[in-house]
Amino acid sequence: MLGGVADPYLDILIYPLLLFILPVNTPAAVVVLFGFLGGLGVDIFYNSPGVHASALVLTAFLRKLVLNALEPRTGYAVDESPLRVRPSNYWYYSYTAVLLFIHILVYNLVSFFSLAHVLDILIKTVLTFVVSMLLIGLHAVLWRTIKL
Amino acid sequence: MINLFRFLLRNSSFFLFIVFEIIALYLVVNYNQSQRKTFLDASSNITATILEKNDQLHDYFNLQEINRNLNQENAFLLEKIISQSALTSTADKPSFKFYNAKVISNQIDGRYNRYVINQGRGAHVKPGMGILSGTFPAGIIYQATENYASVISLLNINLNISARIKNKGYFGLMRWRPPNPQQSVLFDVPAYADVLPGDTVVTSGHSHVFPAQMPLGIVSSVVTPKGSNSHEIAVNLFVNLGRLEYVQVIENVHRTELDSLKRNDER
Repeated sequence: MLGGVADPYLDILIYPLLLFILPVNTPAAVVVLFGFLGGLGVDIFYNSPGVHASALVLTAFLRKLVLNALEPRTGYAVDESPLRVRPSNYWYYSYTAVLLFIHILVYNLVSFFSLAHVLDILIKTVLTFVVSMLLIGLHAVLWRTIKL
Repeated sequence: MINLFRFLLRNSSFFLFIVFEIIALYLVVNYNQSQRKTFLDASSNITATILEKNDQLHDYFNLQEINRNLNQENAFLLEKIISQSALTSTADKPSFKFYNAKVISNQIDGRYNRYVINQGRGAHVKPGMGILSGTFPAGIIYQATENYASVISLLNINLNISARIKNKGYFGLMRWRPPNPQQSVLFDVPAYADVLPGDTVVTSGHSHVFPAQMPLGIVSSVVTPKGSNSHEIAVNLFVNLGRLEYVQVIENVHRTELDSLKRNDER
């Protein structure tokens, strides 16, 4: 299961990967546009218009800021995939972890839409983040070993 | 203009983000049941608060109008009560009429206090009519011009009000004793009368200015001066003349008739 509003304890959200693996120098406006369209696409299948889209648009907008903050001293190469920025996966893990956590937190905020459930929101965010992050890490490991 | 375009273009991702986020949240609150409910609850809370504040402000600015209406209503109700109950001095016929007025200048610190109301002959207000504040007598009209009338205050040592001890029947004349604006003295009640502090003093109706049984005050002390065969009864007034604002002018429609009878008696 990729996500959804039905599960009370945990969603598995790996679709933000769409934005994470875009080339580093993709124009920020294009990333935001992809975020909106991608989020809407997910929303169509989960019958939750705007919930995923609003979270993914914010994540897409923040991607540029996170990339700037995590830029290596040598800078990024042109058209570099984030998966290739460093020889090992640790840079990629920290980059995806920041964005994924923000995405899941915002998704849960919009999904619950009430701060009365703040404890539920936090628990669900942490559980969802742990499981989704494992899968996104697994993807990176597979990509590096079998060169997808 | 070019600078504006440059600015928009340089921050295109930010503006796109704002636009898409607004669209997405619009979708969220319009097409998802639970979020829609939360949103509507919150927004109607906010609008209800604003509307309520607006209403309070409106009320505040309308206070004068409301007061005027209440005053008219009071006059109407008083007329009804007095004409229906046994309060009328001429037992059978309803004989009192009421007009609204507002006190426009007032005085309580002299010995011959008067005040002015904003109704005069143009509104059927004539000398000799009584003034009520609520149901409490507050004075008698002395002079009337076209639009204003001068009233002898209850706090004027020349004004005698014919009064009676409620439920005991003894009557006397009530006159102010300066300087306390909350206290008058009831004279001429016979010394054998068993008047006690706490008894209520009401109008007697004998003067044909006020109906009978209009409350005046409460007996606070009873003194019998040496060598006198009548009490001097201190009365705490109900009416607060220092705060007089909206009043009713009370007209006894049989006044002239009654007065002419009295004149005939004296002849």
